[in-house]
Amino acid sequence: MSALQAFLLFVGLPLLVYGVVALFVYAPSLSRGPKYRPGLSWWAEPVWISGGDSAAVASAEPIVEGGGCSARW
Amino acid sequence: MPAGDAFSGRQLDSIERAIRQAEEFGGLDYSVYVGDTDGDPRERGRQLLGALGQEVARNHVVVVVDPGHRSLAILTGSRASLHLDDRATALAAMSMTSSFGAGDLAGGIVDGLRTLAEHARQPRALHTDVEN
Repeated sequence: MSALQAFLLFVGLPLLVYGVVALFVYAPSLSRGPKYRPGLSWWAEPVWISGGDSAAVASAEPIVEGGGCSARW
Repeated sequence: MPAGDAFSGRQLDSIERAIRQAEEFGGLDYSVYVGDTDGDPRERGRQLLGALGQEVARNHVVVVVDPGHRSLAILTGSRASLHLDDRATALAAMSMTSSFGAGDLAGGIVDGLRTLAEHARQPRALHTDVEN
């Protein structure tokens, strides 16, 4: 067995197995996207889905008529 | 939570679909804001309604979720509040917070929108009851 063959067998093959296992472990969470973990801080950019112009929010006059509720978790 | 988008494409699709279904089902307009509100989601909700303009805001329901501060507010416009009373919004908030506590942000929003749509009903006409 040459030095190259020995290297591939004892280093290359374990690395390949390690890579395949890591891919199987991380693939589901990579395809699902980011996951929210309660208690950890939140850095994602604000998003207003189906809303109006986000740039107008800061300067908008708040509307206090109407109802609603608040909650915490 | 790493910096970047709050939701994956699939999660965004499911939320947008839930908004569309809620609008078709109950006749009100909905939007969902997810982001930092400096710990006051109610005030941010009022500002969001303000940004929509008086006329549009009247029929609008805005759901404000602040994952960092673990707080949530559901604000209804003046006409929308006749269809969706505070008890109905509290019920939706409860279904949302139970999912949020388990780490399911998108699923909680979809559930909450469904609950809101189910409770959006025609307002009771006042002073038109006929006594028998």
